[in-house]
Amino acid sequence: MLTGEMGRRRMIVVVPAWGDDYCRLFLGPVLRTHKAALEALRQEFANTVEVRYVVQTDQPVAVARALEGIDLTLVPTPATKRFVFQTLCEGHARGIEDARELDRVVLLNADIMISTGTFAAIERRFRQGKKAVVCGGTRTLIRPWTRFPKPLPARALASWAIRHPHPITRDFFWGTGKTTHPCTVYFREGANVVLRGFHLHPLAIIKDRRTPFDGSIDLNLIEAYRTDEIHLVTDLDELSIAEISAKGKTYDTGDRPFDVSQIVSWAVRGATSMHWWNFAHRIIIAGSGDAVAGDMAIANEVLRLNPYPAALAPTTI
Amino acid sequence: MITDPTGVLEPPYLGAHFFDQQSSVFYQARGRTAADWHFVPPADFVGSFVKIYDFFVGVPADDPKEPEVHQIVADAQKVRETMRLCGLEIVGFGGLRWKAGPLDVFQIRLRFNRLSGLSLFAGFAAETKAWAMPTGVGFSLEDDVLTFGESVRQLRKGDVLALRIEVAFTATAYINDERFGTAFGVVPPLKPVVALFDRAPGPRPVAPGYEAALKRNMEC
Repeated sequence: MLTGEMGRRRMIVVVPAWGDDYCRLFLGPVLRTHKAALEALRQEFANTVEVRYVVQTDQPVAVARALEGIDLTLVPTPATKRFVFQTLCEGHARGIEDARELDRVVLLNADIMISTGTFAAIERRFRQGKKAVVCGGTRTLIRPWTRFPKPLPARALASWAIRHPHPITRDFFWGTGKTTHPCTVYFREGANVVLRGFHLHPLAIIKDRRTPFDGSIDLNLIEAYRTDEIHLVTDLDELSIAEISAKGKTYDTGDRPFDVSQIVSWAVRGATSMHWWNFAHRIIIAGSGDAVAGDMAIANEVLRLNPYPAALAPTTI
Repeated sequence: MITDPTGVLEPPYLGAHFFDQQSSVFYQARGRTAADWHFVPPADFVGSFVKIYDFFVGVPADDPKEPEVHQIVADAQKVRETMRLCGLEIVGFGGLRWKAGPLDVFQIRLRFNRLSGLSLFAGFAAETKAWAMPTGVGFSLEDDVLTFGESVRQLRKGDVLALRIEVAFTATAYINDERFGTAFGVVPPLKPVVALFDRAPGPRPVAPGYEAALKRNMEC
């Protein structure tokens, strides 16, 4: 369906970016990847997609300068101090709220690098009739600016991120990871990596309905969509994202590698039916999915104990 | 053997006691309800009540939403802490029970810091009473021997085991995700529970507030 003047689609890119560290990150290595992805979008779809950024920030001048030439809405951060996730939640909610009916809304954070083809891949899926795009992302360790790669295509970005994993990511590796909250699980065999994840990133949506969510967008925003309306990215060559985190960011870790029981324990309490649906998908992170066999038996055992069997259509397993 | 310092047990099958080190009070069960319980000074006390952990959460939709949930959670924590003091630690998220298609699933992860003088039942029980170990479909431990049906495993001090039971027409038990045993002729629904009886002699510590939690929750 065409929208706007002369059939142009509108893509709203929402980025909460506040605080010195996150603003530097966004305006540095992250924005560089956005600009490359915008260029790829323009090349593939000529001038049929109009892009507007909605940035929630406490440094409007710096953001406006960096995004010169791009349509921009600046949103202030909340006046009262809140938890980080609440402020993030508000930023994303504001971006969705500002979008018009049938706009595409891309939900990012200041610390998420995207592959060069990301915006184009999203637009492609929307033109095929999908209403939401969900993907996995690998948390990578922050580094000096000069050691961030130039904007990379999907396979290269995903491989780079998994070669420079954050300690939290290491804790999600099957066999060695000791997280007590295994909301995503990486399976590595040689240079090949497959991800199974309950909590995935709702990267983009078509605004055609109410999308209430609480906590953060990866908790329940996507539940406003049916599974057949969602495109879950499993192909390493389609698009990828990498989240940059400081070393000090931590999750709870236990004293032994997590097992199936630990995954199930977490998921029975922490996962919605949509999260279980996510987990049924094999997301290729590096190399070839055919070269990784270890995830199948583990995932099947976990999914066998899924409390929401109706969430798993046969075609998704 | 449990002895009765007062020499009076009414009715006789309620010959069970417990000791609260914090309040230095010895409680004795003498009647069918919590209101019938009496306390006497702790001198000469030996013995124990069965510690019942039965706060099993399932999927979020099963969570109790009423205001008393805080009390239930707090009571479960006191039982859990008392079990830890006895040598049995419930680790991780605690106990879980949920439905997965046709399966009724029970799962708990335990650390066995002590093995001698303990009796354990972990599984689906027919009923829970403070003076008797429950029966039903579950793992049983006597000292260092863990059993499920006819399957037996010897434990070592410090072992951490994830115990899971899946009940449909039959019950299948798993230890650390590996199939351990099967029991036939199961009649659900049963109540998920972890019950611990400390058979060792002498008084033993309990978590502050344990006795009140027990009184609130035990069917006596």
